[in-house]
Amino acid sequence: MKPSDASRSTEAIYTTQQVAERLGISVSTVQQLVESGVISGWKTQGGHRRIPESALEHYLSRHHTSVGTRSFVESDPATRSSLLVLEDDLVQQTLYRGRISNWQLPLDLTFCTNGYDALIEVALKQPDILLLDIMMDGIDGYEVLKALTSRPNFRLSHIAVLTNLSETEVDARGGLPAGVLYMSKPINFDELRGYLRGCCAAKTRLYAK
Amino acid sequence: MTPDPALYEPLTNPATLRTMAGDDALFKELADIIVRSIPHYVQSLEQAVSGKDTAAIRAALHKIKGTLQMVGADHTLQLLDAIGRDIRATGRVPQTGRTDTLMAQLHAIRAEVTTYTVPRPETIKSRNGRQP
Repeated sequence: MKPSDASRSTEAIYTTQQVAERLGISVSTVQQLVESGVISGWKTQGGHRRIPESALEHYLSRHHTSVGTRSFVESDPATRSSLLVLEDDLVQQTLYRGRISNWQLPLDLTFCTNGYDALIEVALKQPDILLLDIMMDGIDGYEVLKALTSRPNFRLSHIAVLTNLSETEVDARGGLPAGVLYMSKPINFDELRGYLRGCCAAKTRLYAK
Repeated sequence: MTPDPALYEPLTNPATLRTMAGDDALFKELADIIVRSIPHYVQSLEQAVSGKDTAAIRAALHKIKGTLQMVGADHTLQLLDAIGRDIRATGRVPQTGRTDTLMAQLHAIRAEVTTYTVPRPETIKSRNGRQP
């Protein structure tokens, strides 16, 4: 990536398009990140956002330290499923981590606590399974789903929404994209376990062929 | 005036959290995190109410709801749902009396959940194993 404007200082300065390419997310998501102050930047006189390299590196380092991955069963990494959970509440995160770790599934579990991190994590690592909450601060689960499913090379195979909203409330907000599973909170963990077992089995079958 | 049952009966049911957790270690870990999280929930709700920000109030209520479900706080859940319905119906900030009651119940719930992790008193035995 070549910086577009290095005239302000010796530091590289990027456009939103360049940052979007680097992070694997859409330009509009980068614009939101800058507008909300998550990534530092400024606007040119013509209204174009510019992002210094240090701000981008700072954001990426924070992203990597805030997103942790844990594995529960040793197995061939190629057949393991990667599970990304987007949940901003610490109590719910602890519950998911505790329950899922006890199931001994061939999973690598990663948590994101906000929609921005989730969008970047999906772009960088393309997890096999995504579980997400809808109601969150910043960009919510709906916006994450919308941004993901509008990507031309979108390939996430399993997505489930875990929410306190009733199905009626979800429908009133426009419903869920086709193929996205709805699970209401409090979560039925037998249902969630069965779902994750099915997802893991599908991945294992894929590599057994 | 009908007395508020919340003043006289337990607001939570430890069995709900125990079932949700599945094992004793996770039960204790969750109880500990809930105790630490409730003051933050209350603070978010207080700020949203004082700022008359209905979107922020709804977001705070939504976050609290998940935890109330986990500890089986059905009475408080009813109050929380009623406040949420009122906001949706009127688009206005709820009466402070109701949110004050909700916050008071959250503090009471925190006190109850704190006792979840306190070891039950065991029968005191003397050094030779016999009852004193």
